Amino acid sequence: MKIVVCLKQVPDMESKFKIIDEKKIDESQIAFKINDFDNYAVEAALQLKEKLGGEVVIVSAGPARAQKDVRQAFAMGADWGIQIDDPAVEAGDNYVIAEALQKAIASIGDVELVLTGVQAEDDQASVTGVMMAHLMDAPHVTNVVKLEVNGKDLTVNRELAGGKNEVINLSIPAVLAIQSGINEPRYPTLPGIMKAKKKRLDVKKAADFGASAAAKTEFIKMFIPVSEHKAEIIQGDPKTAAATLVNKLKNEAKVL
Amino acid sequence: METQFISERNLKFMLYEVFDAESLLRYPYFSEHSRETIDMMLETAMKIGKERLRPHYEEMDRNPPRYDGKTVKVHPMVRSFMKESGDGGWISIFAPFEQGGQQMPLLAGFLPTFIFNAANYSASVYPGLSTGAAHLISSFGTEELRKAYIPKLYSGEWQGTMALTEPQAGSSLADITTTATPTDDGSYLIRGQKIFISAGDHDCAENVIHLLLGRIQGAPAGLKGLSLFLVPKNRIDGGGKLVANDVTTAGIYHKMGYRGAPITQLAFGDGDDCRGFLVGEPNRGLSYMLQMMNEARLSVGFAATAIASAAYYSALGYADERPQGRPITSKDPQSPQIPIIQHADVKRMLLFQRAVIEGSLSLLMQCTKYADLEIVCTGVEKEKYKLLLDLLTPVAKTYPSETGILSVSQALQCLGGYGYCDDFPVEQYYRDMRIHPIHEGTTGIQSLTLLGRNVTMKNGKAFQLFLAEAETAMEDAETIPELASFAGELRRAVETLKTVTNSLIGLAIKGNIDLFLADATLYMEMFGILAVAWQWLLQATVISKALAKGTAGVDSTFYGGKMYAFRYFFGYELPRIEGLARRLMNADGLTVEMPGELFRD
Ligand SMILES: Cc1cc2nc3c(=O)[nH]c(=O)nc-3n(C[C@H](O)[C@H](O)[C@H](O)COP(=O)(O)OP(=O)(O)OC[C@H]3O[C@@H](n4cnc5c(N)ncnc54)[C@H](O)[C@@H]3O)c2cc1C
Repeated sequence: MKIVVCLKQVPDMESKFKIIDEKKIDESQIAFKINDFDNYAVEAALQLKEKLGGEVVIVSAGPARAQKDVRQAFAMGADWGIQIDDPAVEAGDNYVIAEALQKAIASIGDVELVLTGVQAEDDQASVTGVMMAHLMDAPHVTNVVKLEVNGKDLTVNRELAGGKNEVINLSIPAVLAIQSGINEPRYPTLPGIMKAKKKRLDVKKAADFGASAAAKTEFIKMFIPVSEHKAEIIQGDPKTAAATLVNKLKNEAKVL
Repeated sequence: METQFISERNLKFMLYEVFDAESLLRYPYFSEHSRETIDMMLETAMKIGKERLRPHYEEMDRNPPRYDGKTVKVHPMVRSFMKESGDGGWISIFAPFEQGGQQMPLLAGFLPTFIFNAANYSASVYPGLSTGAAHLISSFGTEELRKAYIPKLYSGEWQGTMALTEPQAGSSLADITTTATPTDDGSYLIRGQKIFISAGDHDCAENVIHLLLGRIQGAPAGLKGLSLFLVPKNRIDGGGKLVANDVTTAGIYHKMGYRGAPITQLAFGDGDDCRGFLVGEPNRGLSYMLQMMNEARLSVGFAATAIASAAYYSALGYADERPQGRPITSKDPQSPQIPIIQHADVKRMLLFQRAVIEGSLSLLMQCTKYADLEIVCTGVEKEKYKLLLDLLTPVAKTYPSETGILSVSQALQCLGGYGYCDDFPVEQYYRDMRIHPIHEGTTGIQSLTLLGRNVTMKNGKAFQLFLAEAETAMEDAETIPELASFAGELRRAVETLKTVTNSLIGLAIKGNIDLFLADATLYMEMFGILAVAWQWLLQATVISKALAKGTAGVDSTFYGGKMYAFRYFFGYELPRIEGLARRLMNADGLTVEMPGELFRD
């Protein structure tokens, strides 16, 4: 089975974020890593490959620094990859990225399954995969927690609220957003790390695939919201504290 | 709770800026590796540390191994971690490619374990023991032994150990009595008792492979009669099946710290059916074992430094957040309290830790770099690095172990009363830390080795080489105006060390061996402080050069903090050698002459 995993490099969310001119993050203080959700997609792809044969191709849109994380997926066992290193794509919105990814995937030929993480840790948009499926004219399922392949048919479990699942059949080619917890992503191994640096990674521009979509949305600004909620610790012995609490719930919050 | 336990930034600084790891990668032996692969290795190790090891740290302490009269039950994570360490190639990290290893330079290859040590010391020792055992078999064992035992040690399915200690033979290995009787098939019948054997038996490994020191019947007494044997818990029979090899676990010890890993008491050959296989030549066991022990001593130094690092980050997190007291000059009781990190005395405690941790790590990495150079160089160069490594190994084991205890103690102190309670992990770090001056050779024994053997070996050649290394560092620092005075202080300290060393050797020459070695441990302390000062000067030189070039821009916090730690070491720690020197120059023999009975009142 020929499987593509779309992988995004994101800032380590434990980094200290500084916003420059309400436009972008100051990258000098930030460490970058694989979007954690994508690790589950890579693992799901590798498990399918181990069962059914075929290959796992990583496709990533991002600047040069993203290469180390594509190679991280190589070290886990992915076979080769394409990196779209194009400032125009970087500057675009999710739609621009979805189109570039989709065209890159089309260039590989005969891709049967495209996996993504459920969302990117940084922008949390959860739309790139859906848009890609639309552009590919392929079915899409979100929140996949179980995945079975039967020839050209897929049976997937989709996670619903409250721990429920629904089971969906669809056929390939398809795009699936893999939910965390579906598997336990493997760590790169040292032999894998050594092999990773020799694996093929094609660095391309959007134009190489004929991708040229314009953004459908306009970015205005980025800022850290000021919290308007304050916690108050009610002092005093239990009896007075309880009375104060009831009073506040009645008169200030007006919920009693 | 503080999640950081190590500074990745500092690891990269040490690797690439101070020790120029890339220069090692230019040697053909290491050329398969690159900065990229090393970075990826470290990133993976950090993930494993954070996700797999750290979450079990307290749990493994509160639920230590249990012995039910037959087997030793350890935390189930040990099984999955051993498998991961096998699959990941971590156990075989230093072995050559042709033996299925990763052929990683030691300079970089010790760091994943360092990270694991900091995340969860107990868990990290299991795979490390197998690395050491497999290395011994591969260095000195027959092809047959290698084929039969190494793959399963590397895969993490089997556990390796080192089995030296006996009830009457701890520091004094010359008193080992375990015996080996030759049999017709070339194997030996082993009989004896070993105690304190780390991971000597547990339910997360299918088999345990002991690298054991014993004495072939009729062999000479003392160290010259010790041979090295491979003794499996289950031996491989003619058909390739595992059968019990008459190794029984008699019990486990209940330890103060490092409680996630068992130390066992083992009986070999109670039923006269315990087979051992000679590794290398008869009566040369100790010299083989020394290879493993020297690596293990560096490992102990790394582990001690790692635990101190984890404790430091706990203390730092707490000091940032704990409001207590006001500036000394503030008179207003209504003003808000300040975080304790603003008090000079708390900063002193934090700086002490950082100076010890980053200085120790530097000395250890210096040693691993010498070990790498010994592998890739030939002739005089090879000999040089071997001597430097031999000289410094006991120091790199002892300084971090002894001073690390003080460092963790200061971390605990930063938390006040909470430091003493198990709400925070620091009291556990303190308990876990305490083992390091004891195992792999006590501080007393390491100090005797340093002064009684290493400093004088080959007519003092190793010591001269060390002085030359320090000289190079001082000359380099002297070219930088703001470091010149520090270089001068180190130069004075080196002169003091030379004077003390000559005075002590003078005693030895006169035959006063008791006096010569009576205060070897103080000599070790002095040597350690000086060696770490040398390492701090190397780091400060690198930083000053980077700052001068303007390449340190975004790292001003990191470099700035480091320069304070450097100045702290020279300002607060280096002067200690003067007191030590004064005592070391005094040959009144106070401890030698005091009779044992006077200790009773
Ligand atoms: C947690 C733990 C793990 C261990 N793991 C292993 C293991 O895997 N394999 C193994 O074989 N052993 C292991 N050991 C044993 C360890 O190596 C010994 O405890 C150590 O070598 C000291 O021996 P001892 O306990 O008999 O102390 P002793 O040798 O009795 O020493 C007691 C004190 O006397 C001092 N002393 C002893 N002899 C001299 C001397 N000649 N001159 C000056 N001072 C002296 C020592 O420095 C020490 O302070 C382990 C021990 C522990 C606690």
